[in-house]
Amino acid sequence: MLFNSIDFALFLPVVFALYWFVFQRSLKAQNLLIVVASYVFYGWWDWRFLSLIAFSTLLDFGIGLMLGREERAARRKLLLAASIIVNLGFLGFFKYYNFFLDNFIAAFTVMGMPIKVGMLHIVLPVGISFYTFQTLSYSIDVYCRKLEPSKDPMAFAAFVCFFPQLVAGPIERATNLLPQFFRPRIFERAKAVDGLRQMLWGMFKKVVIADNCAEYANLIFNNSSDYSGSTLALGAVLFAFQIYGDFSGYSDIAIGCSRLFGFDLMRNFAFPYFSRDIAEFWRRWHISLSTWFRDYLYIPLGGSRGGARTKVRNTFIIFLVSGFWHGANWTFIAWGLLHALFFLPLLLASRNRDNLTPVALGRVMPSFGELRRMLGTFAMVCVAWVFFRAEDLGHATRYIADMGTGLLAKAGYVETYNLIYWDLGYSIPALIAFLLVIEWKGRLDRHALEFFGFLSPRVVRWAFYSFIILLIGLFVPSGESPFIYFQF
Amino acid sequence: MKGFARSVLLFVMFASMFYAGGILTLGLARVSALHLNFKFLDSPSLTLLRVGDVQNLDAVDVLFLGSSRVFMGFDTRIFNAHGYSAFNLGTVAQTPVQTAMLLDRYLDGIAPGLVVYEVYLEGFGNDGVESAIDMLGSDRIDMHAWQMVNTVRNPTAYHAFFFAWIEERSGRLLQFTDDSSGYLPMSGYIDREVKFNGTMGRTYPHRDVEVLGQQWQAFLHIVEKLKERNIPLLLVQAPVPSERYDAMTNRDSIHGLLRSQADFLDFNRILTLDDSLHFEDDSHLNQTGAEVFNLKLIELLAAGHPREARQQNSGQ
Repeated sequence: MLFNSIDFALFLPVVFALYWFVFQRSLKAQNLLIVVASYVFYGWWDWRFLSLIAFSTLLDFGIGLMLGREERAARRKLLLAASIIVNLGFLGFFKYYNFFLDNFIAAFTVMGMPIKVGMLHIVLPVGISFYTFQTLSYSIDVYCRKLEPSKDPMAFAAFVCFFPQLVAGPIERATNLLPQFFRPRIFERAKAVDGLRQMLWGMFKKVVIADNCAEYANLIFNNSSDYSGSTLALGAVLFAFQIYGDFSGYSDIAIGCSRLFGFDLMRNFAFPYFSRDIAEFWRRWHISLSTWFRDYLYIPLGGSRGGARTKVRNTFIIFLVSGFWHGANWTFIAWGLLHALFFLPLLLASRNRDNLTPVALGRVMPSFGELRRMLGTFAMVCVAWVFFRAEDLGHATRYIADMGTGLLAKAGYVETYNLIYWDLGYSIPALIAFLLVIEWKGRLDRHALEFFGFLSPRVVRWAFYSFIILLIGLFVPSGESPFIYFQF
Repeated sequence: MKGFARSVLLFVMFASMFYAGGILTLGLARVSALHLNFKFLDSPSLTLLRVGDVQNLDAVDVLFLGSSRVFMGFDTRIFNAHGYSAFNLGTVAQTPVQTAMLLDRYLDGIAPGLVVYEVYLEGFGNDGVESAIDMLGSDRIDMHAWQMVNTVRNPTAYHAFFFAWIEERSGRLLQFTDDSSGYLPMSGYIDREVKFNGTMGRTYPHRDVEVLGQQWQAFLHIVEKLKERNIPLLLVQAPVPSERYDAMTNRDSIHGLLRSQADFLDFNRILTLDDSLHFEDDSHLNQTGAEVFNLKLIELLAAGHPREARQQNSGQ
């Protein structure tokens, strides 16, 4: 079920009403309702893969219990290894099997030993990368004794399949989310209202910004050889807003929706395009994945302790694995590598923690220097997005080369102007500007519309929210448009 | 909790009014912008005149239905000259969804002896929004219009429906003022000067024509409705330039589907027209082409009509 669908618009109020009006007296009943609702939500897409989630739930619940009882270090390691192997085994099979096979065949062919192996037609279960990492975090935290193993299978099942964040995150840490399933839930009006506000902004980012930018980003990327350098640059910028609107929009809806049910999910985006360097960008983009890799990979590898070589090695590992997590394609690995290369100078100069506070703190506008650094960072991010969006490495390198050389040709700007004037229109740039203004205004808050909650009188607030709803209605595409991160 | 529910309800009412006000403002300000799910017709189309005429029409021998290829391709004067009374109810980009609505509204009033439906194949893959807006801007707003909009299921169509409904309720009915259009009163046809195909040399990607579920369902509804009233239906594919005709790779399978429902004549096979001399553009016949096409159709109708033409039609 998609958040931006009529199905979900009917599903959510029904579950909400049952949760607070029918099952409010019993925590167990509320958890059961969450499990049932989550399975319906997921099964709407493909019920066959519910068995995978159920298996993953049972496996990690069982391993957690055994880890809780087991004191022998070797046995505990074995249990953790079992959880990691089985979870990553599923992920590897569904997501990476054909990629590895393809590359083995290519490698043997290059060595003059062509082999013939049949590829499998594998359907990637939606959200497998997300819930796999979430359940892994549980096993690892129980193993590290950061968390008591859950003895309530229903609460644990609800933690694994919690529908707002099941298919595209935020990837929750068990230490944050699981305990919330054991605490009695009291309806908090302010929290629920703010949740709705966040959902509204998320919906705006998805259906207005992402889906409208997607039309032209797709047009330019799919016909990149026909366009001038400046148009290719426009395509990269549009894709930057598409993916930001799409993914951060999903996260906002997920977090807001969770708050309606009394849950607090971790933040996933913190206005990343206002970053002044790449290090800051990574503290603000897909925070739940970055911190997952930091906690469960970077730090166990030694983190930034040790010499420069260790730091560089660990940084590259993190970025490459992060790229590969996104998909079984060399383009994602190249995307990760490029970000590692952007990050490296900051790391070596020990300047990767220069910008820990929000930009222009205490001021309305950024300084010229801040603006220059934000634009520079955004440009680097856009170049990297080309790899993320391209069909293959050849396409990405051609796109970037044509963009670089073509930017100097004046004739290309006429084509870009015509594309903006005749096809893109002024509405999409105006909507992006609206997004940036609102996000800039709310950059110190947890989400862009949070400060609107303090505006008075109420009619002003409501008029503003209604205006956003009107924009959604006026710019929503007519067809179904799934979220990009569903494929990861 | 109750306070929250009450606030949500109040907000929904407030937002609905705000939304309605926004759509009205856009409509009254004649706003039309790219990507906006709101399209305002700057001037009403000829559909306004056709639906006006059709309501004053006595029974006709032949009723023509379909897209602009109909009101530019079936010259009712030629049919009149051969003893057939006829009316042309072709409208802009009409798809089966709109055809079904027109029949639901007007069929019993017209009581035609024969319905000739031009099945513009690409119409089956058309979302129907353009025609929906044309209809909403030209005809009355009633349950048939609501059903049509609900079938099209597009925000632009919903907005147009709402605005047209308000316009109608407020008595601000559209008046057609442009008399230079060549529209022939009580005929539906558009008389125009002969132009020659300006799109010669254009190539078309070869691709399958999509058949959308809602369009096919509407088409079946049309067939069923006419069967119920014992009104013969003749499906016709009017000629198109050869490049465009050949680009429809699944054409034959769609023709097969059409033949399974009613008599069907493909005039691209029956006639050999000149892509340059007989067409106005890549979709429409010019007056010369329309005359050749109409005379052939009359000949087939006079000869006992389509059943005898089947062999010719299927190229056998």
